[in-house]
Amino acid sequence: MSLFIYGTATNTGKGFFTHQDRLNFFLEGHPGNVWVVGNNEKGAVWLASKGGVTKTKEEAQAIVDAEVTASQEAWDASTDSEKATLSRPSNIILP
Amino acid sequence: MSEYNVLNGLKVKYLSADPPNPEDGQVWYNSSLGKVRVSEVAGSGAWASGGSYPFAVAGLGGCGTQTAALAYGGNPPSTPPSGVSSTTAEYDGGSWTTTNNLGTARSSFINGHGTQTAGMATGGSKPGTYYANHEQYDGSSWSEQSDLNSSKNQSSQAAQGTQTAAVVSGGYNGSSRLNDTEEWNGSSWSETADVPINNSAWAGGGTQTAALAFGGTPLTDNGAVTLEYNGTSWTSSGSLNQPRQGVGGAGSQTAALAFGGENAGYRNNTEAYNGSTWSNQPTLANSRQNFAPAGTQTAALATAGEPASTNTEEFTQPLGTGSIVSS
Repeated sequence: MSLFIYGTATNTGKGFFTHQDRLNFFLEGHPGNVWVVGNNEKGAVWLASKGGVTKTKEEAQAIVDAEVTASQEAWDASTDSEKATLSRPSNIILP
Repeated sequence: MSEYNVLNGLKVKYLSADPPNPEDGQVWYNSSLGKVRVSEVAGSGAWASGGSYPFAVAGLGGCGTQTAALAYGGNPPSTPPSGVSSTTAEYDGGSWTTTNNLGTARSSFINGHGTQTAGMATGGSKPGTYYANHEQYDGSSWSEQSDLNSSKNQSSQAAQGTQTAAVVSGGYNGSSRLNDTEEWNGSSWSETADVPINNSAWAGGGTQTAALAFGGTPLTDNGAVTLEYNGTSWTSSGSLNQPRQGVGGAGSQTAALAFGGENAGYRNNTEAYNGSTWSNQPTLANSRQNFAPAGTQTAALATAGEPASTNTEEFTQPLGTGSIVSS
């Protein structure tokens, strides 16, 4: 059994995940509204309650990669002085 | 025998009841109970989601508390990089509301100092330009004040500094990382003891006479550094467990929190400082760097940042109150 559940869900702000949620299950947010959730009952219930759409790990990684690539291309196209303001967006590997 | 006021710079307050929101480690005498009382950690802390920032932005400044925070400026990735922001927003513990803009749009603050009703924005940059500008917020609008002595971004700023007693250290001026320390006395900036290293992209906490600065760049030299300032000179202290640049900071010199940052990717690490060493704490849900930090060690706030997002997270460490008894 996989350690994690992958999905997309829009962060609605306050209450989207609570302190108790963080104590109950693993949770990580990533670009593209991708969420990695511990593969246990509480994690699964949380993702479902947020209207989450489950993805395979590969699908979730592709969404993150697309977001990161777009921001890297924007950074690469900027001038040197503009590049000094923000660092080049890092690649993200989902757990 | 050590005395409390010598160790903490404060006398033990004589109160008729327990204070409503004591900080971790705060000590007082409860005359109704006839006992010396202390606030202490009770249970596991964690990060939870907070109200979303009005737009995705990185490099914004932040100050205040978890329930009364201020964020300003930054670099919204949705616009070209040269499109730095002057937007200011206030947080009430549930949602962000935009208010009057900074006079000078700029980015790359790392952190700020002051409160939601008495905040400060010092330095910063936009592509090709580094600022010495210093503006103060009165809870409604910003006003221009005396400039820093040198232009810089990504300085460490003592987060609990005030509009009449602040300190800014290090930073980057476009060509060099700096070791300047500048103190604000309410009317002008003066240079004091240099930081023992040239550093930027580092966070800060504390006050003008009890400041803390940590993390920074380059990672191999400065990423784990922690320095304390007593208003006169800098001394080194325990290293961060996870070296980081673009890290957020909150709290005081003896009770600080370091969260987020960058080191081979965005980080979600959270560490607590007790005046000498750092200990690992529960992680952010959203790894990030160059965001707006605010709050204290036990009630902190992380807003927006890189990678571009509007996410806000609130760290809460439950506190309880106990009586001190002699053994």
